[in-house]
Amino acid sequence: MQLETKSAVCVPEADGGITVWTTSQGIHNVRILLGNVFNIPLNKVNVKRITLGGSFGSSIQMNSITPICVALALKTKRPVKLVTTREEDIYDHSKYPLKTNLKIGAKKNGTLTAAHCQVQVEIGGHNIQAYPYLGCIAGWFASLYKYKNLKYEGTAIYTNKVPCCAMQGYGNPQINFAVESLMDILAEKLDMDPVELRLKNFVGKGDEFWGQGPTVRSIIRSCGVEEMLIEGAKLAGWKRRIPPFKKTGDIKRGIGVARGFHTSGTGGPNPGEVIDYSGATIKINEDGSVDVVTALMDHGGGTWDAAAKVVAEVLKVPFEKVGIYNGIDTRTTVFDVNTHATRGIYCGCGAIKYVAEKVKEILLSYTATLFKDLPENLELTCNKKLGQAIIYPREIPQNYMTVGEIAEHAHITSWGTISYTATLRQKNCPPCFITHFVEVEVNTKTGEISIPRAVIMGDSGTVINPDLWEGQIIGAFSRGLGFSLLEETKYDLNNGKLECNGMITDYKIPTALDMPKVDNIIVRSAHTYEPTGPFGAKGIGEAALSSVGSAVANAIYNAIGIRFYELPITPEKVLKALKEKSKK
Amino acid sequence: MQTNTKILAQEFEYLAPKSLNEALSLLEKYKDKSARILAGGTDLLVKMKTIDLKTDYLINIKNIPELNFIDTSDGLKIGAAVPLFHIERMGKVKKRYPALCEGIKSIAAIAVRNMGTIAGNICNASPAADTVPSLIAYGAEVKLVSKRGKRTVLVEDFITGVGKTVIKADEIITQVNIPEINKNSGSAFSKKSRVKADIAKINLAVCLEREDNICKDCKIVLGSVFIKAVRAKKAEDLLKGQTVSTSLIDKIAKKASEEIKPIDDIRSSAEYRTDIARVMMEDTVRIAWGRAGGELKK
Repeated sequence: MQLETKSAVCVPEADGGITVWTTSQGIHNVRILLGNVFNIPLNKVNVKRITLGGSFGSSIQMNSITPICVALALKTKRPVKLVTTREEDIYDHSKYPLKTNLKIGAKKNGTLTAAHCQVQVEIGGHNIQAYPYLGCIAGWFASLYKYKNLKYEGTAIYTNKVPCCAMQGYGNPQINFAVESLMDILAEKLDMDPVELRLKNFVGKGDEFWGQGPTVRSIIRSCGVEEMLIEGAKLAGWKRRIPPFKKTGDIKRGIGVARGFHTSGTGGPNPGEVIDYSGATIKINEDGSVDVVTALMDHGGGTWDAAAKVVAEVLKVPFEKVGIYNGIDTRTTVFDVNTHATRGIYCGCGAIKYVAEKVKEILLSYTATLFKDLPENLELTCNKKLGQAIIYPREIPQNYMTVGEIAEHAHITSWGTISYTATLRQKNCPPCFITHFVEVEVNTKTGEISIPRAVIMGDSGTVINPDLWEGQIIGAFSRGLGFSLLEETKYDLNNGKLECNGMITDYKIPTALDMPKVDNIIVRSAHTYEPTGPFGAKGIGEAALSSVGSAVANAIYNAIGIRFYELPITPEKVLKALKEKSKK
Repeated sequence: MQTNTKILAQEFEYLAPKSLNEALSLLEKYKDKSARILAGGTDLLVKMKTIDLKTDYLINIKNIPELNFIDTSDGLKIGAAVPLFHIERMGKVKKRYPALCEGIKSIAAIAVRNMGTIAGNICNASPAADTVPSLIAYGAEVKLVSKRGKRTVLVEDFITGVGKTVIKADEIITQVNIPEINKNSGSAFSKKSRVKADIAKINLAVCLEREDNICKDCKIVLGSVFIKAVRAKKAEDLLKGQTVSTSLIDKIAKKASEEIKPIDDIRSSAEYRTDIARVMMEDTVRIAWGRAGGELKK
C-alpha cells in the first residue's frame, strides 16, 4: 500500500488544449502520454507539478484516473476533478509478489562459485513493467555477490488480480529476501560467521554493477559495504550473538544481519533501455536570489531541498535565497524523467549542479567585465554577514561586489539575465548500500514478534540532507516491517475479491507503536564519496528498504531456530511452526 | 468493488432531538420505517458507506443532556452519549474497573474513542467489541427506554448474535449500569491484534472475587471466538470456591480454550485463536487475582 490516493484535475482550454494537475512522479511523461492518447499537440498539453504525499513508485506510470479525467473534461468541455478513494487505490495497483528458487554454490572456505536463480512474478491484469521488472530482478540478484557463474530465469505471469507496479524497491526487497536468507543458511552450513561470509563475497569497488537490469551497468567507484558490516556489527553487539539452541525462557531474542543496495538512477556509460535525464533552467534574479525551474519531482524525500542546497553550494548564495518550489509545469520546463530508481539526488541534482555551474560561468564572465579582469582571477564566495554571494578579484577581498549588485548591473545595462537551461544524462548508476542489523523478540507462547532494536548503516556517499536521510531510513524500516510481518494482498478464491475489500480496516501497516523506540534505532552513515555524484552524493530511498525483511527473518531464525521461506511472518505462522518443531 | 468511503451514497433525513422525550417520539413515529440512532457514528457511518445498510432517518442523540452523564455514586452509570475517551480517563474506572479501562484503551486510536460511545459499542454487537467482555464480566446491564416504558437487560443477554440485539425499533439505550464491585475483587482485560490500533483477533476479560485464598466468584468472558462474546462457564466452575494456584490457573486456561469454537477469518485462524486463548487466559486470571490482592501458590 502507498499513502496518498490518486487525484486529477483537468481543465479544457479554449485553444483545444488541456491543463492537468495530477498525482505524478514525473509530469513530462504524463504530458507525452496524454498527447498521444488524445491526439493533442504536445505544446497544448500542460501538466502542472504539484507536491506528492508519498507514492512509493505507484505514480511512475500515468495513473489510470488521469486519462479518464481528461476524457471527461474534453467531452463535457468543463473542468473535471477525480479523486480516488483508498479502496479504489488498493484495487488500482499492488506490489509484485515474487516466488524465487535459488541455488548458491560455495567452496568450503566460503568463496562462492555459482548461483542459479529462477523467479516467477505475478503481474496482475496489466503489463505495466513486467519485462523491465524481470531484468531488474536479475540485476538486484547479480549485483549482491560475486557468484562467478550465474544463471537467471524469469517468468512473468498474467493473472486476473490487481495490476502490479513498481512499489518500494521494484522487486529488490523480494529477491533480497531470497538471497540474504540463503546466505545465512550457507554461513551456518559452512560454520562461518554470516558477516564474514558476506565480507568475502560482496560486489564492491571496481566491480561491475547492474543498475537497472543487464542493460544499464557501470563500475562501482564508491563502496561502504566493508565499513558498514564491520562497524555495524560492533554497534549491534554482533559478537554476543548465540545460537538458537542455547536460548532459554519464553521470550527469545535473536539478531540478524542482511545487506542490500539500490541503484542511484538508471544512467550508464552507454545509454541503456531506460530513459534517464534531468534538466533545469537556473536564473539569478536582479537582487541576487536564484530561481531553479525544474520538473524534477520530490516524493517527500527531500529532493527539492537537496537541489536547492546544491545550487546554493555552486553559486555560494545562502540556501534561503534559492527558490525551487512554485508554479512549475511542463510548458515552462525542460524534460525530466520520473523520480524513480532512487535517482532524485544523483541524477536530478546532478543535472541541476551542471546547470548551476554553467550559470556560474556566465556570472563570472559578466563580473570579469566589471572588474576588467579575467574570470579565472575572480573569487566567488558567500558573505554570511551580508547574506549574499560576493565576488572579488583574488587577494583583494575588500573590492567585492555582491552578486545582487552584479545581477542588477546586468539588468540595467541590458546585458541580460544571468541564466542557463540544459539537460544532462548521468553516465553512471552507482549503488547506494544499506546494512541492517535487527534484533527481534519472539514470544514462543504467542508467536508474537517485536523489534526492540535496530542498527542501520547507510552508504549514500555525501549525505546532503542528513536529517531527512535518517528519516528516510527509519521510514523505510517501518515499511519494511510491514513487508516482513504484516502486509499481504490476499484474495478470496471464490469470488476473486481482495480479502481486505480494499479497506485499511483489514490491510494493516505498522504504526508508530509497532516500531522500536526512537533511541533504539541507530542510524549511521558510511564514510564514502561518490566521485561521479553531486558533491559526492548517491541515493538512499529504495536501498533503505531492500534488506529489512531479510534481516528480520534472519533474526527470527537466530531467536527460535526456525527458517521462514515466506513473508509476511505472522504470529499465526510462528506459533504453528513452533508447534510442529516441538512435535519432531 | 462497490464501496466508496469518501461518499455517503444514500439519502436520509438527519434529525437532532434536543431531549430524550423528543428522541423517543421520533423513534415511536418512525418505528415502522428504517430509523437509526447515531451516537458516535464510528461504526454506523462506516457501515452506511461500506455495506448495504440503508436508513431513512438518522437520529443524532449526541446533544441530549439526559444521555450525557456519568454517575459514580453507586457502581457506575454511564449515559449512552458519553464518549469512550471520557470513560477511560475516570479515576474510578481506572481504579475499580481496570478491565473496562484496558478494554476501552485498546480500541482504535484516540480520534475514534473521542467519538465512539459505550452504548454504541454494545449496540453494534460486533463479536470483537472491546468493551463487551468486561461489561459482561462485571454483570453490567443496559437501560432501555421507549414510549411504552422502561426495562433493563443484562449486556450478556442483550447481544444475541453478529450485529443482533434484543432492542426494539422504538427503544433507545439511555445508560449502562455497572454494579459496584467488592473491594476484594480483581479484574483484567487482554487482547491480541495485528497492530496496536486494530480490531481484536481475540479478547477476554476476567472478573473475580477473593475470600482469603479462595476464589469466591468469577466471570470469564471471551470475545471474537463466537457469534458474540461468550462466558467460559466450565472454566468458571473450575475456579469458583477453589484455592487459587498456578496449577489451577493452567487447568482453567486449558478448559476455557477447549470451550470456545473460533473460526478462520482475515484477522487470524481458528487454530491460533484456540492456542492463544489458553496463554492469554493464564496471564489474565493471574493479573486479576493479583489485583484482588490474592497470592499465588504453586
